[in-house]
Amino acid sequence: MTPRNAPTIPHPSPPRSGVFVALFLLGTLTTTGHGQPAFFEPKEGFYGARGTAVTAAWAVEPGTIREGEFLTATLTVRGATNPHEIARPDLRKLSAYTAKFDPIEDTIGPAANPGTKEVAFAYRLRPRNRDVTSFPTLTFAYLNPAVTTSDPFQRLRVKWEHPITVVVAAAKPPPPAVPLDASDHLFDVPTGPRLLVREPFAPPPWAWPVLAALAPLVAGAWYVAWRRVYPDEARLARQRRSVAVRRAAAAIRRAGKSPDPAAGYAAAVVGFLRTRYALPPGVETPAEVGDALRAAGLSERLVAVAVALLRRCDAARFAPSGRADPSLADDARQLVAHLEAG
Amino acid sequence: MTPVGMFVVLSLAAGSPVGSGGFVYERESDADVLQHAERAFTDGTKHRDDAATARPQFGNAARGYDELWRRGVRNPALALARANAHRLAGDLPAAIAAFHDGLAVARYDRALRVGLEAARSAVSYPLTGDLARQCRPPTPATIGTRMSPLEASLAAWAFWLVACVGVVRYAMTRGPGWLVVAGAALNALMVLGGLWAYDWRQALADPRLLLVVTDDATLRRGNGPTYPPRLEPNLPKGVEAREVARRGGWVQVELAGGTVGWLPETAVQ
Repeated sequence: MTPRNAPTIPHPSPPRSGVFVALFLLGTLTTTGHGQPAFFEPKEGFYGARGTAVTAAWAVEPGTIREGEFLTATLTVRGATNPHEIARPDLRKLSAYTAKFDPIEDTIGPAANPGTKEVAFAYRLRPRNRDVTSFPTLTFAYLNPAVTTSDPFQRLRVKWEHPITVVVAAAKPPPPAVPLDASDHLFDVPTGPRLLVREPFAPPPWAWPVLAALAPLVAGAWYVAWRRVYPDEARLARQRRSVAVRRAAAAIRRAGKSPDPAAGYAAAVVGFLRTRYALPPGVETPAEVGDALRAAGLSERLVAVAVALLRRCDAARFAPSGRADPSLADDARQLVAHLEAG
Repeated sequence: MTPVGMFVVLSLAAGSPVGSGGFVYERESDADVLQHAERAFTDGTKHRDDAATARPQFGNAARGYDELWRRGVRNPALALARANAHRLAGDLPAAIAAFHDGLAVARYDRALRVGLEAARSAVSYPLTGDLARQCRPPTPATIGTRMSPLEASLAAWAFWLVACVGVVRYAMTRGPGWLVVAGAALNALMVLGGLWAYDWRQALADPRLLLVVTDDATLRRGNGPTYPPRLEPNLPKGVEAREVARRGGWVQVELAGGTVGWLPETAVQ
């Protein structure tokens, strides 16, 4: 610290040549790997290439692409003395390229031939639209150490002279069909006129009492039919008697036309009595019939009438004249009817 | 409203008289509408390997079946076709509503029962939590869901006839076994009548309108979006609920598990 009363010593102003010295020193300290002060380098297009006869060229393929497809551009730099020190130009920072292509991707270029001083940088670029017809020019600068009298940086304008054609993209293939995820039974639905039925069938209210009454009616009808098919004993006896009377009447009628009517009348009467009173077998003569009828409980008067009729039949059968008494048939019918009624 | 008709649900699609492509159903006969619907269903079935093509066809078929239903054609066969068409068109809530419509007129129809259960199983409940237990309605097992009125009538008449015949046969043969047969038939008749009476009461037990959730929605404690949720996960499409009340564009519903909450009217049908 300077004492307040101490005399001040004016600093001498630095000489003008000192500015250049300082700049020289600064430039020496900030030299790039190319051995060139950074502030001397071009602001655009210099990627570190050095050499006396550096060349650069684009190779773009294919010349014709569909909309949406990518093309490949390869920048090949030849003649540089430091091919491994050359930086990849970043096309994404160059408006000339971003205006026409999106996206711009770096990719691996072809391998450099050993022994040759060349390096290649490859890119994948997709034209933004069909208006892209040319590939932009790239400014590529390099340091030429042989030039000492003027600007040592040489600038190349790297062009691709061939046109680029972007055609209409092919129609996108339709997305693959996705099957309907549903059970098979869902596809099996009823069809036809039954779908037009206004409402499902339901029995009307009157059906209930009708059905309720129908069941006992059906059961009752069955019972009646059963009684007719299987009648009880009394009705069975009546039926049997009725049949015996009908048979006796038919036999009396047939006997009138036979050669021996009296025998026929007697057989018809005995047959009826046998059915009606269950006469034992072997009862044939009037006396035997009379005994059997008495045993069956028939009244004496009816027994006498029946026996008398049978005796008259026998008399008529064995009479010398051989003529039958015409009243026998009527008497036989009356006896049968009387016995049936009684 | 008939007892079984209390399960009738609203159907938005059923109210539309216009089918696809400007086809105006109002001017067509029932047979023509059915023909269009069946043709659309057939076309959808032909394209079942491509869902994007098939679904619109099934949607057209569903609109035709809906129109017939709107006109008053009510039978289980049409309900089944209608529900399946909605299901294949990708509209699960409408399919569930159509199954309920069909069961309202034919509770006994087995195909509709099976279809409804299958549709319910397709509702996307979350795997965790008890939302499914809260929302899944129980499967009714009353006799009315197993027998049609016609079948029940015939069965009752058969039991009554057997009872009468048993008595008559006893009169014929005097065999006591026939009286046992007649008594058993009468017992069966009484059991059948009791089951039908119980079924009738069950059908009358809940006359509230049945609603189906058509879009994932939050069941809230009140009729507004600011109310907190009653249940934390959203109700998925296809959940069934009973309507309790309506207020200000919201509907109060009760889930099968007894939970009561509010849903926007736009989220149910």
